[in-house]
Amino acid sequence: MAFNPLKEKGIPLDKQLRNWRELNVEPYRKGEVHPYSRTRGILMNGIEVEAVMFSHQMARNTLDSSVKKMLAEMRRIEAQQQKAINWLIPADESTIEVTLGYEQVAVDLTAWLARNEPDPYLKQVYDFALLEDFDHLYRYANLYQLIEGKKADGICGELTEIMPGRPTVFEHRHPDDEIRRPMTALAAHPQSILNALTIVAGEQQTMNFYMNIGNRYQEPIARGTYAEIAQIEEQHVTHYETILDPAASWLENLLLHQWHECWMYWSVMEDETDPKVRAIYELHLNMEIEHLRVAAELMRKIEKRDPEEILPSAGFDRGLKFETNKAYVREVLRNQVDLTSKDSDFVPVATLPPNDRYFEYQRRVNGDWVPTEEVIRENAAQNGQEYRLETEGPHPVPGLRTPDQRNGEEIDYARRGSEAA
Amino acid sequence: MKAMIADRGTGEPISLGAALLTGKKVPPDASELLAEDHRVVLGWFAWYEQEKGKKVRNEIARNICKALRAHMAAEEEIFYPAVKLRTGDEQAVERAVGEHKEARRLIDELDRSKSADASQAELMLKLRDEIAAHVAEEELEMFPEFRRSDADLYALGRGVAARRVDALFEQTPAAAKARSKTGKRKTSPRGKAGRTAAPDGPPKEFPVMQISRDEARDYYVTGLKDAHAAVKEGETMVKAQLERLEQYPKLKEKLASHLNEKKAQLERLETLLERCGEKPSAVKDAGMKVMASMGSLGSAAAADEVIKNSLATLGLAKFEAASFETLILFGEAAGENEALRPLQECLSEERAMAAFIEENLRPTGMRFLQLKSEGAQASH
Repeated sequence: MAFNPLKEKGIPLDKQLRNWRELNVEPYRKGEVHPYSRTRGILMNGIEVEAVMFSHQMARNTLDSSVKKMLAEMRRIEAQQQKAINWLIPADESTIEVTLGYEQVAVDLTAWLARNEPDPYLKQVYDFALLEDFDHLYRYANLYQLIEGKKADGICGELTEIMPGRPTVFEHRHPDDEIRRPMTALAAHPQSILNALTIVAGEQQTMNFYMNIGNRYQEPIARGTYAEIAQIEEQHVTHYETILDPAASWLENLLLHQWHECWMYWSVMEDETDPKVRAIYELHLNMEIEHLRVAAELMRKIEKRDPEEILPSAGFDRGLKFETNKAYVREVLRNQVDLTSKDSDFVPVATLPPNDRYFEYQRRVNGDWVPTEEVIRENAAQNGQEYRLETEGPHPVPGLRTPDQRNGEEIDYARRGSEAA
Repeated sequence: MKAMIADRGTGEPISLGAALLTGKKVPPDASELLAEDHRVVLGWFAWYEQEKGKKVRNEIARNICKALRAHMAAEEEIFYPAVKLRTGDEQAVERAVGEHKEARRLIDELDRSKSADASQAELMLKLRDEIAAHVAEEELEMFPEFRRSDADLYALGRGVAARRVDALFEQTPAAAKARSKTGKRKTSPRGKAGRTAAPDGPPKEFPVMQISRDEARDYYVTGLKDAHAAVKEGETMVKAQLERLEQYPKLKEKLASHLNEKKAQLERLETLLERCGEKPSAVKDAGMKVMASMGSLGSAAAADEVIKNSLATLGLAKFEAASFETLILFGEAAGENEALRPLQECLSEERAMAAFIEENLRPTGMRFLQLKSEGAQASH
């Protein structure tokens, strides 16, 4: 089932423009949408936002006005694609409900990428942040019950477990420890490039979303939780974007972006069950094939390089899938919850000396109020117990079970935290 | 050439020329860029005519003069020679150069005018007419003819864009000061140059190269030959290790991929030598006296062979990186712009290799001790 977008013929650029009625797509029905159909839409919106922002940045580094025009033409279409996809979200889905969708994306996308990552260092990069986004889902699920009185499985189904990951309170690290080692695009496995471009776009959109809508609540606990998690998303964008190849030229990057978008639309089109949404993906795939052709042509014309030497000739051998990752997440939880990052490496938090910059940073930001901790306490107080969805048995890490089931067990983070205090 | 690629050891290009060559900026079609310059300057002339404020008028006049000087330098040094070569239309180029001469005479006069008075306005009018006529000739005849030739408009665009920025920089007080320091003339303590120079000035290594391109080329070619010899030596060393490494799979894998890089480096160097009229086959890789002692460090007989080899490989990788860094500088001084990207690639590869060995000194050493303590084969 391989697919090679370089061998396909797309829709000519001048035939891609849509009118307002076509753009203003009919939203899905909140009660009927499949959770993974929702996550596909959220992810594709992030991919299109990246396409638009990348193109703007490239235009600012382009001296040639005809190339700038070409970028503007494609960008206008990308921006339309972004509207068509993001307008699938219905108005009756509340901000926290959309947020739960974003975190379900983060969990099941990152887990898939980790499972399909050929490079061991990059796999570690994915596993590491997976546990942090997994924890965000749990915090927001409790905020949802606290504010709207509803349960998160009404949005996420039972596809993704909801329980603590690496507790958000411990995720705040010094910025120097978020810089990863970059891959070399020309030497990297093609799947590694596709994976990295996917996660950077996804996390960047999550950052953009939280930092803009986090102020839509009156309750201090909601505003605080969004602010705190939004700062982690900034951290994650740094963490992930530093694995991209900084030596790639703009034209190489444009080519890779368009090629990546083809892969994304091909992937989601294969899996989409809602025929109307599937039709949008199919249409967009045909547009992206043409964008890829244009990018390839620009590269030949300006850099005098053959794009086929950069892109693998075999095409894509697998599509990205939203599927349940419960067993995988549990395994990573068991083995890696106490990891932190030191420069570009990942080390057990227990090995950090007491004067490490990590602890100083923790003291500064956490101060005397940590919203993501309080939201759990408040919700437990209001509803008798905190919200969790543990479908596969008790939490795999004893120190992360509910206080009454913990038998005094603690994770190393909690131990170091009380030492520091 | 003034566009410096010297990257202060960070791997990031610092000049526009370097950024264009490494793809960190998208280069323009040279003829489009020059046409865009025309639009900008003609726009400024229109602004000058409408502007009432004397101070602003004076500033516009200064800017027009600066921009035109830079534009003409780039055209004369880079664009016109290419036009002559590709279209064979020497007359068009001569005519254009003649027009530049007249424009320069007017600009020199404008430079002497102190304020936006009637005489300046008259000169500006003359300059505008001169430029407008020149623009029409270029855009209606020379550029279309040139675009029909098989010239690489974007490679040329890189050169034109970089030269134009350099020429603008040369007109800043800081650059004038740097020039006067290296030149014979001393700045008088009362001189305005000293007062107006920016305190932080241009980057220290901003070159005021007095050396001619031809002279620089000699050093560049010698450097290419030496680098070729060093890479050859490196290739032999890597091959020898690859044959024997058994207990260090990660190292072996890296060396295997580095061997491919070595082959590509040799090819690049040979292409560059050929461009300078040197026959690569005639290059003797014998003069590696510097490396002789380092090479002998690597030894197949030693009990700690893998350690000795790591040290030797690290030394050689650093040596090669250093030669590529110098070559980039010399290549630039010699005007060999198209050589810079391949040389930059070589530099990055050797830096990465050195970094890898350095990062793995401890793990390799620890594995060596571990194997030794187990009584296993540890030397390779």
